[in-house]
Amino acid sequence: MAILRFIEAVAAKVAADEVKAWLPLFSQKLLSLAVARLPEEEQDRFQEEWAADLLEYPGECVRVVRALGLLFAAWKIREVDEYNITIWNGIRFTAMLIGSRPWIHHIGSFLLLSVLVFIDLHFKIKLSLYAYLSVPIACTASFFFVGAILFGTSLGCRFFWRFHDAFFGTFDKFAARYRR
Amino acid sequence: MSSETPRMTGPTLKVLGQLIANPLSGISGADISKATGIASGTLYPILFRLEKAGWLSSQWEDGHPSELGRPRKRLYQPTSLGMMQYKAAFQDIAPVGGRLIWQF
Repeated sequence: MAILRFIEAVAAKVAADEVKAWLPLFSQKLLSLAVARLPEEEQDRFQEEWAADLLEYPGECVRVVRALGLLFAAWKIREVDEYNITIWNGIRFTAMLIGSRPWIHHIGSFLLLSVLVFIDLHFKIKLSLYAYLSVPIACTASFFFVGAILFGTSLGCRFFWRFHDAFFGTFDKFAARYRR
Repeated sequence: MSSETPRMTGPTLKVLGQLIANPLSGISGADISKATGIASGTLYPILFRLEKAGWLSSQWEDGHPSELGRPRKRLYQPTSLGMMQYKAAFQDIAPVGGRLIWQF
């Protein structure tokens, strides 16, 4: 029992250190991804503006949440710039995101593990090692499941919206990844 | 490129209100977000729409990133058109029983 507790404590510490070390890189990756989604003529401006925006917030967790918001903002700005927002564009964007960036699948695990580590360390509630292990497994499985559904939906959308030129632009980039 | 008049939603009014409160110095997106509580995913598309419609203008803060030691902030200022639209929106709102409601 004592050994198990020791392993739990070590695992919690290692997980907390990992989260702390990866969060800055994670928010930067999200920022780059958001900027890449913008119209080309706006990318340089928003790269600098949003980098300054993230630095206004001291906590790394807050920066990650803010960077996720910027990802959503980039999508909406692109829609403003090019075409109207439709639910299909939303589905397509999510499908493209999950399909083209494998590490996106781990966002859920990452955030949930952070919450578990926080509960463990802050409230001194000892969680089972199995709780920690089940989170990434469940999240990865569910994200792949959702990704598969969205990918299928997008293919359906393409069939129905074949004359919707707004649909083709980014969808084809996504589809090209799977043709290779 | 969209040239439509932006819709006067609650967040849009909040953003315009915050910009009008700082008309000369300008205010960054992060500061607007902190003051209004509007998330980045909603705020920047609103700023982008308002700027495209000519309701606000933006410029980089003074200084070079190498001198500042960080990326420059983009400062937003309301234009006279933006101020007019903001005032016009509030003319459509009337106080009734201590609360503001839209007049139809």
